[in-house]
Amino acid sequence: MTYGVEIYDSVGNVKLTSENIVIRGIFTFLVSSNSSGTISVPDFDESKGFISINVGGLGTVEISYSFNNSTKVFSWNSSGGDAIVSFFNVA
Amino acid sequence: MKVYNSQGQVSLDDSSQCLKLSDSGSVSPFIAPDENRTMYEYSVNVTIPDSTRPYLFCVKSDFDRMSLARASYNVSDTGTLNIDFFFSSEFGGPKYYRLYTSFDFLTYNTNTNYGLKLFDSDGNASYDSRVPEAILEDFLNVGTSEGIITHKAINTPWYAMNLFPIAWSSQPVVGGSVFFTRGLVQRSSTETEILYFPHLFTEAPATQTVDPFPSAVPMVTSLGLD
Repeated sequence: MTYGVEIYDSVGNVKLTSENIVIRGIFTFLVSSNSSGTISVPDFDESKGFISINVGGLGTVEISYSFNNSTKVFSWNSSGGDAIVSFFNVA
Repeated sequence: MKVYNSQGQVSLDDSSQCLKLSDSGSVSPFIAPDENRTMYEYSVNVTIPDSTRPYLFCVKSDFDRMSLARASYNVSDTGTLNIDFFFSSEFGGPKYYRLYTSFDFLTYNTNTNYGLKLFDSDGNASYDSRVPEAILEDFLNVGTSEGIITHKAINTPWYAMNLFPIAWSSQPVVGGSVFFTRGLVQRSSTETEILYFPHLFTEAPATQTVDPFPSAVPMVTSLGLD
């Protein structure tokens, strides 16, 4: 290892290395059923992260979405039930 | 404090916390298969410290077909989020799970005395290496179709099932209909299959298909835990 830091536990196992790709939870919000709109997520970097969608309850989710990494605006159009949108950065 | 990796990217930043292990354990099924049901059903109740921050609810692969059935949410007045995750598996044995959240270190207990701890200007811990971090192994870029997804070699994936994009369909059969759920199954260390599998039989005739939507499902590990 030529960059970063490593931290060991009492028996010599590596507990942290800065070469790991860690996940940072940036923001999450609820998209209501049958809705459309936009929201700004300034701390999210799509080139280094990912967006996940999952259901927000019992309803079926049908959703289309996009993220503009220049303006940091997330847009959605949902024709189904509630959805939860989560933004993660990785590095 | 920031630490950069060999690619010049920030890999440690106590001002922007990574997801940390906040709960783990195993759970036994509360419903077993019967003449109308093919899968074991599991339920886990977890608490998320901050309802505005994403989290990862990871389930260990046993080379079994798994799907997320549903999640019931309850936001408290204090901003915490209580969730009941319901997921299905054909395994039947205890299923191991890990929950990663963003949280401060005020309430975290550990019996380890080795590591690195950083403090903010108020004297509160802003980083503690003794708490296992969520390390990304690879993604499943789950699209709208079924099929094999090839990924980095991982012997035992922990799939972030809370991010799996649920979809289902029902098809008529003699005497009723079969409810199919979209889920995943590990096929090898480098392959995971996205597929629909029969889940329930009902006597009610039904034909319905829900258009699946795409989503990223990370596979997560932590140093020292596997």
